[in-house]
Amino acid sequence: MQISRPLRTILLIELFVPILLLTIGIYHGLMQVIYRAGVIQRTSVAGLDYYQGLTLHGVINAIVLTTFFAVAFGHATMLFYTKREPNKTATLVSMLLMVFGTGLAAAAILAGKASVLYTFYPPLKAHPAFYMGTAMLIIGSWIPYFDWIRMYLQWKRENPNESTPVAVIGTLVNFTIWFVCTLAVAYEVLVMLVPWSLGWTAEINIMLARTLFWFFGHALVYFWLLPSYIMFYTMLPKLAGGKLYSGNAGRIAFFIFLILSIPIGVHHQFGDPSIGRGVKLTQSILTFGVAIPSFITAFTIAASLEYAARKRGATGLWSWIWKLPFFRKDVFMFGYLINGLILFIFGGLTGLVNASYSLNNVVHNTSFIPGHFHLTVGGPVFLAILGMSIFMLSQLSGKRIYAPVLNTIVPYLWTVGVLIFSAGLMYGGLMGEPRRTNMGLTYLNPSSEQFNPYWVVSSMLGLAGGGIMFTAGLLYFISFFGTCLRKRTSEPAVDFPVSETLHEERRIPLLDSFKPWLAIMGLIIFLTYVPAITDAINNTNRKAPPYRPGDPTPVVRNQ
Amino acid sequence: MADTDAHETPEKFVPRGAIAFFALLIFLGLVIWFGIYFVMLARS
Amino acid sequence: MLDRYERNVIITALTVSALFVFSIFYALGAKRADVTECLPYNKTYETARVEQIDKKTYQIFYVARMWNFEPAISYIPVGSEVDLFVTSLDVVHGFNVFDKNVNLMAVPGGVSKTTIRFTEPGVYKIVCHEYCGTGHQNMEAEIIVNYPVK
Repeated sequence: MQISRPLRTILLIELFVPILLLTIGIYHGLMQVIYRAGVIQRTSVAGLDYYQGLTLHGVINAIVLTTFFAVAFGHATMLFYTKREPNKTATLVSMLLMVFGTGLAAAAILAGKASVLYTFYPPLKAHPAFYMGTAMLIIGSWIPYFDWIRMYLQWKRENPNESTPVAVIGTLVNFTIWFVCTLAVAYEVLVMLVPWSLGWTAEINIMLARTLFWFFGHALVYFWLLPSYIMFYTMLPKLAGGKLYSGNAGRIAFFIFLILSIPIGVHHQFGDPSIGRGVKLTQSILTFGVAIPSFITAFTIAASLEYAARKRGATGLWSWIWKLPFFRKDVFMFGYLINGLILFIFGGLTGLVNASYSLNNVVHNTSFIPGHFHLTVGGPVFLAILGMSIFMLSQLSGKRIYAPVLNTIVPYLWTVGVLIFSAGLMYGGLMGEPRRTNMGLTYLNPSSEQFNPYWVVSSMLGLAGGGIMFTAGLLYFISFFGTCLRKRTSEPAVDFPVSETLHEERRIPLLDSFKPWLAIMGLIIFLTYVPAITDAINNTNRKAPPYRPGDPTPVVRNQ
Repeated sequence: MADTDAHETPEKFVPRGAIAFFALLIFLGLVIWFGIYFVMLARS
Repeated sequence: MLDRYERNVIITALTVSALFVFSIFYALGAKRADVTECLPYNKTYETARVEQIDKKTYQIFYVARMWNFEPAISYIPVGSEVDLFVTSLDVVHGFNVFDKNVNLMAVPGGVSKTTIRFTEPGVYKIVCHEYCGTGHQNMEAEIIVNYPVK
């Protein structure tokens, strides 16, 4: 369908900016595996410090890329399914806030004033511009949410008897989760961290800050994941040449995400003091609940793909898999999505390990954790974002994809790389290899007293996998920026593949209404997080002043 | 899409392959989870 | 409203989750495999020390700072049960004992506690696994389990 010129420009900016920044993010991804394997035994290379680069890698890849994409894809989805355009001013203001905020945060990091990693754990202190930039990016992403609610309600009034499309439910669920969870981090940043980093308040409660961060931090991963889920349900069956096995399964999955994405954040804090074991155990068990929609999705998508393969004449219990359109340039999105799903098999299952209460003691903060999340955020999330970004770029600009063969093999190459990389990191993690550590200086430096020979093989596997991932990234950039430089050959448009459902499904009011689910969501969050926050406040009896990453004495300001 | 001659109609389609895949997924999940579980028991 | 295979998928996933939860409770009861205990914080945790409670029971109070742990080396006899208390005097640090289920966060203003048993002699390395500034990769300690010599 057609799209107005101003909206098209905004969407193209929202796709282009994060991919441009991703070049830096991926560059430092490669640098990290090189440092960690002990190939480089230095604090910095080419003016970029290890931890400064790690901050860039996390902020760009996990916050900037994902947020920009979720907004751009959300706009396109709402436009395509509700057949109306979002408000132009709101869309513009949102985009400007996000771009400006990103610029501010990036400047602080590049100036070396914010090497605190994307989790910005206080009492490490960053420049206020870093916190304010991040807050602007988040607030910018809130604006479209309210606009989409308006569009949804309008659509609903005009189509009272029609089931809301799964993609619209998915988008609204996703941004509802996002809005609620970011309230906590907005409080942490704007009320606690900014005044503290400016020197207006002397000390803050660190456990409270951590608990607020993880209220946001785990819901964040579903904010990354749900755009991919929307693509799995609404596009992948069509791309494979079949139909969606069950649309209601998709609706149920999205609503379970809505109620359970937030009240499980404490499973990142099993090692933390101050929070009681009862709270930790409760949130651990709830995490099993949020795994249910992913099991549902795994089966539903497998059944949809099987149907597509059988339509092509496939027989046999397993051999149908080979009838699917792998390595086909015309349906390159299939490659991006299916590879993401393959990685997510391992990513999802290892995630269950991490969230399983005492099992977390084996893996917490070891390299097992980045091994795991490169199979999730670096798997289905990242591949869906890459694939859909170039897909939308091509449609919105009316340009054909440059070097389509490269674009087609990127997800396969990436998958091979991630599997090797994550295998190495997880293997090392089980032997205690720490994450977020410049190991080249000590543990992987044979001339250091702290050299640990056990971690040589695992970090070398990480290096090998990381190298392949970087190569896949380069091929993608050639294809993406090559497309940008091409001439327009067709009319700009937004046109997504749409999967029909296999069986005709009647409208079920419970699965087409937000109100009951929102009420349950609020109730569970209240019941789980009131004790967590009370514990964090009551059991923490000393507040902390700010510290710079390079200095063991606190920052003291002259009054 | 291409190849539209239907060998299976929606009515009689039984997702045998998907059920097999799901069984394998659960099996893999048990292997990974209990793998770490026994590492934990061995270390306590 | 739901296809019967979809329903079976949900039931299977719930059953597997129940099995996992049951196994977690089993480990909790039989092996005392638990996460960090929550204690109210007070000033006494800010003094690093090793205390012997009785012949087989020790308590080690760790204090983490940028970029070292105190006590850097502690000696414990084989077969001891050790309570570990960890806090930080500046930023957040991590505390992971090699080959043991000890995985704590050292957070200023809070104290993390866990208990371990050392049945085998050896040098147990402790690594800081939370980014704590530019010296993070240097931050280590050890527990030397060496009965009967102390």
